[in-house]
Amino acid sequence: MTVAVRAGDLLRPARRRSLANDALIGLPVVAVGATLAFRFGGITAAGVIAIIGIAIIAATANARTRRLNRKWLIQRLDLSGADIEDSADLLFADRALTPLQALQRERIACRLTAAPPELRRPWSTRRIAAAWLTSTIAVATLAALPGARRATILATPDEQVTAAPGMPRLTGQWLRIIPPAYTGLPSRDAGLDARAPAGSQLAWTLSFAPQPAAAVLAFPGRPVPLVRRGDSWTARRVLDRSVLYRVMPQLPPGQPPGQPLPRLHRLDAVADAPPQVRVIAPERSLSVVTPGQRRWPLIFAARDDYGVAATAQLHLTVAEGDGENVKFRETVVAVHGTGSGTVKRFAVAPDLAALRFVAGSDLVARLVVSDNRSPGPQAAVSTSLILRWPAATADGAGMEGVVTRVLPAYFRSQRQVIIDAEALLKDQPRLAAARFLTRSDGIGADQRLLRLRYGQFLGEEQEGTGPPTADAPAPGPEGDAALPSRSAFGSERNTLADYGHVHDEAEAATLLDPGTRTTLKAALDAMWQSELSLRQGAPQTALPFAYTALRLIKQVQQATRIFLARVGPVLPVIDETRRLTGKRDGLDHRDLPALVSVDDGGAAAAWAAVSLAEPLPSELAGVEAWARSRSASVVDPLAVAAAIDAVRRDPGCTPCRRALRELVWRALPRPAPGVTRRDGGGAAGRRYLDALGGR
Amino acid sequence: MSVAVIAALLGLATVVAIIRLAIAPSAGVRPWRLAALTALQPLAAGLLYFTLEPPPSPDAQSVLTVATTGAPVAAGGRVIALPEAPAMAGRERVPDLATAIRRIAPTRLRVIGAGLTARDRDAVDGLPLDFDPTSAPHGLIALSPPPVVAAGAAFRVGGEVGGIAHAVIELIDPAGRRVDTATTGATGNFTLNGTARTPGPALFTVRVHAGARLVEDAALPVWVAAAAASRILLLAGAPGPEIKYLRRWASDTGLRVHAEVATGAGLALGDASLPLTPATLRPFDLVIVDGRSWTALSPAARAAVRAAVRGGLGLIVRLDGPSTAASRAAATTLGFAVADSDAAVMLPVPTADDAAQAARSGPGTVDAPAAVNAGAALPPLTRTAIVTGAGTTPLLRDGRGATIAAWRADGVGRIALWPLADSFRLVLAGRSDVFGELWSSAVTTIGRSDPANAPHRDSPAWLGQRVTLCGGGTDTAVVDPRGGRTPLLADPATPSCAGFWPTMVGWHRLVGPGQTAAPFYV
Repeated sequence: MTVAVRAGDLLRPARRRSLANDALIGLPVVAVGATLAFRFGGITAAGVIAIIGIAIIAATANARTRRLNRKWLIQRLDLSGADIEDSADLLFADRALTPLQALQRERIACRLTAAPPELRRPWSTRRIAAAWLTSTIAVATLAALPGARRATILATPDEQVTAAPGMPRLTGQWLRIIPPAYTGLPSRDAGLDARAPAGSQLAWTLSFAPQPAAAVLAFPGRPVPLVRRGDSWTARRVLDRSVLYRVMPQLPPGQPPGQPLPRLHRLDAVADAPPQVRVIAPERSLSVVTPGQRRWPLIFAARDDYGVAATAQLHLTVAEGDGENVKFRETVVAVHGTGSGTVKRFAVAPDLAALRFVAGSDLVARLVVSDNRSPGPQAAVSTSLILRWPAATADGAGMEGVVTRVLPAYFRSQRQVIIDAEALLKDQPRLAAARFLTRSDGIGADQRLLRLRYGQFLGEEQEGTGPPTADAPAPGPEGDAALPSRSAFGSERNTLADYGHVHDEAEAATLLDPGTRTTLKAALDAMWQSELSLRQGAPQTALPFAYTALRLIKQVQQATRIFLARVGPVLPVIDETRRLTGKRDGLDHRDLPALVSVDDGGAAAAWAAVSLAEPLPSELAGVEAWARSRSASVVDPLAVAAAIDAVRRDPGCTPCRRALRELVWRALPRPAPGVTRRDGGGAAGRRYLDALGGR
Repeated sequence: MSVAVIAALLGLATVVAIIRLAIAPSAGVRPWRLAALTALQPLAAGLLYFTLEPPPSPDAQSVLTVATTGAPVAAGGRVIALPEAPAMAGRERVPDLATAIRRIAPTRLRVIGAGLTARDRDAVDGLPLDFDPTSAPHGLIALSPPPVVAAGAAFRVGGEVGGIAHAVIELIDPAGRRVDTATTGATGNFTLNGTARTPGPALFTVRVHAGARLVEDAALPVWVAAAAASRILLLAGAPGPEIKYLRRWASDTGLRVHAEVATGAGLALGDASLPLTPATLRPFDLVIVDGRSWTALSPAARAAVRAAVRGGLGLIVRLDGPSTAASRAAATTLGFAVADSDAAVMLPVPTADDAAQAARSGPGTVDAPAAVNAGAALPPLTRTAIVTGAGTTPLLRDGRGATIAAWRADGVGRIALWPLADSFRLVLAGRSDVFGELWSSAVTTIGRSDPANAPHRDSPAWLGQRVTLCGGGTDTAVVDPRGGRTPLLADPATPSCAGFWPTMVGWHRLVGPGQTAAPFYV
C-alpha cells in the first residue's frame, strides 16, 4: 500500500495563515494612508493610495508566502517533533529510492496521514492588535482634526467686484452644510449659493485679501459677524428659511464711499414635507361586517422625504346607537411599521370583540403617522375607514321604513284570514260538518281580533283585553303587569286611564285623517260581515267581505304613506291676459350693480421700469415692492430681489437687465384684453373715402 | 491653349511659309505673285489669330458686373466689388455703386450676390439691370410685427420662411417661454399668435427650426399701448349673463359703458335712458344692441343710429335668440342675410399646448391664480343664425374657419351681426381670456376709427438704413434708446414725412409737440 503525501496539501494551510497575517497587519496601515490622502487630497487621492497600498500588501504577502516552499516544509516537518525521524526529505524525493528508503518513506507517510502535524504559524496577535489600535487612533484623530483641510482648499469665489488696491476682497470660500441629524443626510460642501434642508447648520470659512478689520455675512435684518482664525474667517448659522445675503468685508478707513457692493448669494431652505399615508387594504372606505368576522385587517403605507416614525397611532372609534342617541368610544392602538426608513408599511388587525363592537354600530379607524422631524414631528392622518355592522332589524330606508313600521302585522293578518278561509273551502269535502264549523269559527275569531284592532284606531270600545294578534307580544301570566301601573292617589297623569275609558287613542287620532278614517270604517264593516259569515260556518259568503276589507285596508295603507314626486315643478301656463296687470307701485328704474374696478397693483409701473431704458433706483425699489406684494406662488421674490441687486450694482449690465426683465414678465398678470382704435387712414384716407362715396 | 502659344505657333507657321516661298523653285512664277503670297502670309496668320482670340467687343465692355454680399468668387467680365462683397483678388473695390458708374460709365449692370443695398439703389437710375441671385434665401424672408397692440390683447404675427420645407416656427415671449408654435406649409407662410401684458415695449422672438436644428432667431418688437377708453352704448332687451360679463370685461379693460337693459313695461335697469339722436350718439364709438331692443327701437332712433354709423360709429347687433320676421327684416335692412340655426360652434383653440397656454395666460393675480383654470377646455357655444351677405367681411370664425359673425362697411362706420348667443359660457368655463379676446377684437374692428392722423413709418426699420417717418408734422424729433434726441427735417416734397437713419438698435420714439410718443424698433 502506498500512501501519497503531496507537499501542496501540507503547505496550503500554512500559506493561507501567512497571507491572512500579513493582510491583517497591512490593511490598517493602508487605511491610515488613505485617510491622510482623503484629508489632504480628496477622494481621488484616497482611492489611489488605497489601491497602491493594497497592491504592496498583496505583493509582500505573496513574496513571504513563496518562502514556504518544499525545503521549508522538509525542515519544518523534521523539526515538528512528529515522528518523522529526520526522513522528511524522503517523502518528496525525486530520485529513485532504495528499498530501505522506500520502506522508511512508507512508514512516515502513514504517520503523517494519521496525525498531520501543525505546520501553520501562530497568529501574530500582538502585531495585529498594535496595527489596528494605532490605525484606529490615527484615523479618528484625522477625522476629528478641524481645519486641517480648510486652510488649504478654499474655492475661488465670484463676487463680481472689480479689484481695487487696498480694498479687502473675498479670495476663498468654503461653505459646509450640516443637515439636521434626523434627515440622515451627510454633510457636504457647497458654494456660497446653496440649497439645503431647512434647519441645516451652515458653516462658512472665508478668506480675504488684504485682511479686513472685520467682516460680516449681511443677512437681511440680522448680520452674522465673521470671526477671524488665522488667515480664515468663519461664521455659523442655522438655515431656517430661504434668504439672500452678501459677504461684506469692512472697508479700510479713508476709502471713498459708494463702493459697489458684492453680489448677493442665495440660500434655499428646503422644507421638510409632512408624511403621506395611503390605505392599501381595505380597498373601499366603507366595509360591512361579514358573518363570523373576528378581526378587521387594515394595511397602510406611509412615505416621507426623510423618514417615517417607526410607531404610528391607530385611532379606533366605535359609534353605537341610532338617530340622535349615538355614543362614541375611542381607543388608540400603537402600530409598528415595517420597511425602510422613508417608506413604511403598517399592518394591523383590531380584534372586534375586544373593542366591544356589536351589531348596529360603526367602527371608524384612522392611522396617524408622524415623521422623524425634530423638533416637532409632522403628522399625517389617513382617510377614515368605516366598518359597519348593520342592525338586525333593519327596515326599509327613509319614509317607507317609518310607515311600514306602523301596522305591519294587521295587514298580513287580513290576508291570512282570506288564505285560511280559502284553504278551509278546499278541505270542505273531506271534513265533517262539525269540524268544518269549528275551523270556520276559529277563522272568524281571528277576523274579530283584527276588527277589534282596527276598531281601536276608530275609537271603538275594547271588548275585553282579548288575545293579541299573531305578531303582538302575548301578555304574560300576570296580565296586569303589562298595563300601565296604577299611580298613587292624587297623581293627575293616569286619572283618566284609571277611572274612565277613552274612545280614541291619542296617537291613532293624529295618524289618521278623515278620509282614511272613512275608508277604515268601511273596512271594519266588511270585517263585521266577514266575521258574521265565518262564525256561521259559511266561509264562501265571508270571502267577498274579506277581500273588500283587504282592499280597503290597502287603501288605508296607501293613504298613510307620503309620496313625493321626483320631478321638477310643472309651472302653470302663463296667462298672457294677466301680464303686467298687477300693481306696479314702487317699481322704478334701477341702476345695474356697480362693478368693482380692479387695480393692477403696480404691475404696469414695474414693467415700465424694466422694459425700456436703464431703470432708476427709485423705480427698482418700486419693482421690488411689487414683487414682494405678489404671492410666492406666482413669483419668486428672492430671484427678483437678486436680479434687482445685480442691476443696481451695475446699471449698464445688459444680461442682468434681461434677466430682471424675464423675471418681471413671468410675474406680470395678463390684464383683460383691451381694445385699440382701428386706423382710420388719416386725412388722406378720409378724403379718398369721401371721394368714393361721391360726397 | 493660351494666347501666347497660339501667337507663337501662328508666327512660326508664317516664317516657315515665307522661307518655303523663298527657297522654292521660282521658275515660271511671276515676281508680283511671289510678293503677294509673301505679304499675305502674316495677314492670314493675323486674321486666324483674331478668329481664334477675338478682341473684346464694345458691347461687352459696357456691361459692368457688380458683386454684392455673398457674390460667387468666379465671375467673368469686368467686376467691381461693393464694400459688402466678399474679399477676393482681381476685383476692383469701389466705395459705392454711384462712384463705379461715374468712373466706368457702363451701359448695363449685372448684379450678382444678394442684391444692392438701399445706399446703391438710387444710383442705378434707369440703367438696364440683370440680377443673378446667388441662392434662394434660407430662413425667415418676411416677418410682419403687429401694429400697436392693446394691453392684454392677443396679437397675430405673420411671416414667411424660405428654403426650408416644414419649418417649425415658435413665438418666444420676453421671459423665454414658448407661446405658440406653427409649421409652415407648401408656401412657407405662417401665422403665430401671442398675448400682450401691461403697456410698454416687449421684445418677443420668432425662432425657426428645421427639424431639430435651430435656423434663426429674429427679434419681434411688440409695442403694447394702454387700452383705448372707447365709449360704448350697450342696449339690451332683457337682463342676462351676456350683458353681465360684457360689462365686467368692459369695466376691466377701461371702456366707458352706458348700459340700458329693458325689463319690460317701460322699466329699465342701468344708466339713465338716452334718447337716440345724432347729437347723443356722437360721443359714442360703438353701439352694441341685441335683436329685441333693435326691433323695439323707434324708426327715428334706428335712422339716427344708421346716420351715425355712416359718420363713423360702429354698430354690433347681437342675434341672441331665434329669429323672428321682424329681426330678419331688420337684418336685411342692415345689408345682411340670415338663416336660422341653433348649431353648437367651437371657437378656435388659441394653442393646444398646456405649457404655451400657461405662458399666454400669465401667472394670474394673487386672488385668482391662473393655475386654477389651467387646462380648462373651450365650451361649445350656440350660434343662433348663419350670417351672409354681399360685401361682408368675417368678424369671427369658428375652429374650422367657417364664418360666425360678419361685418360690412357703411359710410365710414361699420355694422356687424353677432349671432353668438352665449359667449359668457367662456367665462363660466374659466376661459375669460378667450371671452376678452373675442370682444376685444370685435370692438376694435367695428368701433370708431382713430380720428388722429397717427404717425406711421415704413416697417421694419434697419440699422443704418433710411426710415421714413410720416405724420409727425413739424418740430418732431427721434429719441434713441440712450435718450439722445435727433430733430427731424421734413421732406419738402411730402411735408409731413421725414427721413431718419438709425445708428443703434433698440426702441426709438418719435416725439413731437402735442402728441404722444410713437415708438418704433430698430
